[in-house]
Amino acid sequence: MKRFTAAAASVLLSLALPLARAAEPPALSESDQQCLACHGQEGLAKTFAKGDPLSLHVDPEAFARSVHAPLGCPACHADVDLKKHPGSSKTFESARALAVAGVQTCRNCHGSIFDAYQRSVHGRDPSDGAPICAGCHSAHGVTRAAVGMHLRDACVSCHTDTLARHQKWLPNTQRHLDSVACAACHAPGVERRVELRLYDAAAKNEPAGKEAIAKKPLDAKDLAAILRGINADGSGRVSLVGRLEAATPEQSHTLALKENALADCAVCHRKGAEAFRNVTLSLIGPDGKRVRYETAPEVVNGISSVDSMRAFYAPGGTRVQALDILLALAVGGGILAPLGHLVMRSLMRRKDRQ
Amino acid sequence: MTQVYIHPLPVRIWHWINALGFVVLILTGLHIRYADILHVTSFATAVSVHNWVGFALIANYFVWLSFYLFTDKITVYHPELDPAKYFRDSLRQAMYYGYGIFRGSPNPHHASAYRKFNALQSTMYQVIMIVLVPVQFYTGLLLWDPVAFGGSVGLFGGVRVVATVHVMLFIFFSAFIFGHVYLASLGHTPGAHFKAMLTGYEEVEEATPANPPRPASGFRASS
Repeated sequence: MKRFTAAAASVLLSLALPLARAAEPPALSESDQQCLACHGQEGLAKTFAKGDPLSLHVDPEAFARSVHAPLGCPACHADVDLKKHPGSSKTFESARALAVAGVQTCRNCHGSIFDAYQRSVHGRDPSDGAPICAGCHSAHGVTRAAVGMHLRDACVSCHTDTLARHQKWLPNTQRHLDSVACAACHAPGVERRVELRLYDAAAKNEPAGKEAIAKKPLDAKDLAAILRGINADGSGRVSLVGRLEAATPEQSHTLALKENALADCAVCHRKGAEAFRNVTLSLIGPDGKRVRYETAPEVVNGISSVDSMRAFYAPGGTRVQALDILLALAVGGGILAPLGHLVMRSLMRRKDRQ
Repeated sequence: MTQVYIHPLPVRIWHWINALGFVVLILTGLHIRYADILHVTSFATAVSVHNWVGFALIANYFVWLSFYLFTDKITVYHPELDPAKYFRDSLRQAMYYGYGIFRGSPNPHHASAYRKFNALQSTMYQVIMIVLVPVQFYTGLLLWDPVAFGGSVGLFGGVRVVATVHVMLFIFFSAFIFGHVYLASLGHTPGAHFKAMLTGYEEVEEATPANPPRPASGFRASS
């Protein structure tokens, strides 16, 4: 155990690299650069038959950083014949029609997620305004869904009254919005899990990880060792925060009408809640991809969590067992000591009378 | 026996609001912490009541604080600056609770309007009213909105640290209440101290010459 914890600590010494210092975007292929020679120019646009405009501009850097960049332009735009381009083999009467047709490309690789989306309130919405894949994930700047807050922000960009509506009934609204994925409450039947993520309190970001951890499941000592390694400079800046997530990407897409959303706080705010039985340590690797490590659920209720997870607290769910015992002892003592004193007084009085 | 006006009206009002509020805070606090076991009301209701009562008690605390800051009754909270006397009085009081009371000895402390606490009570209530209660209110305030009070939460180290301090004080107060009620029953009759906290007048034995009470406007003698 000691050998592992020491190794984990040394291996993760470099976890505190902020994401902002991620490597330069990878170079694009020649064919992609050929496409971007025109599409990288700002202002490039076209107008559909119905009169609505479509920007044809693709931000080269955003695309280079996109998780889809290694696939290259043709992976999604296979129908484009460069010999006949500009000019398209297909014609669409509106930008919406083009976008709807475009999601089939997403479906080719993300079939199960797309099927889940189709069953959701968004997928069943026939209106032109219903969000489709690119509406939340963007078309050419797709970043990892599990990293950052951009998907929460995508929800809020349309549901602009999110904060105000939740504030009417949900205590600590902003904290919930920051630490609970929208789908964790708005996808009926969702399985929830707690993701423990690194958090740098000074930089206010999530440091990236570097190496894989072999041991599983991780326990409280392992987490403490990992944090000691990261905070080897003695700053103690980095601790773990918990985030409530849907267990799978498919479940994240089964969003329902708000009437079906979770409104019972006690589903999560109680010890042994489903979310707190499914705990993972979730680290961002050097490639920017999130890696999850099986973690013993008891870590969120152990006494060491007061330090290792000092910025993560969910009343009930993260209840520390040692404090339960202390409460029982204190109240027991608070009752028994007066009772004992009372009995003593009574006995002595009787003795004196005799 | 002499009737001495020991508990002025603002203190009595503060005390009973505080007592009721603490019971509600402890019960709703238990409900928030043990929502898997307790189902008397919903978690949301427990949180809401806990917050409102918490704010009411913070306001009520200032009733207590203002009274003692702006009247000469603050002497009841003055610490004993003579260590020898402090330890002698504390030991004498502890001996009474631990032995003398069983033998029917008289309480060595004679309450007066300006010295209503015995040496042990004095220490206890200085710590409770000047340290523990304010810390409990402050940590409660931070937990009420840890985002708005993010700076203070950061000074503690994080919201879990704030919550742990809050819970440990909750544990202390939960245990304290039982001892408090029991000690309040140790007057010359079991109900004497409770009655005094309602009427303001405590029945005490004649003051000893060594510890004469300062004259007070509410002082009155009775048969």
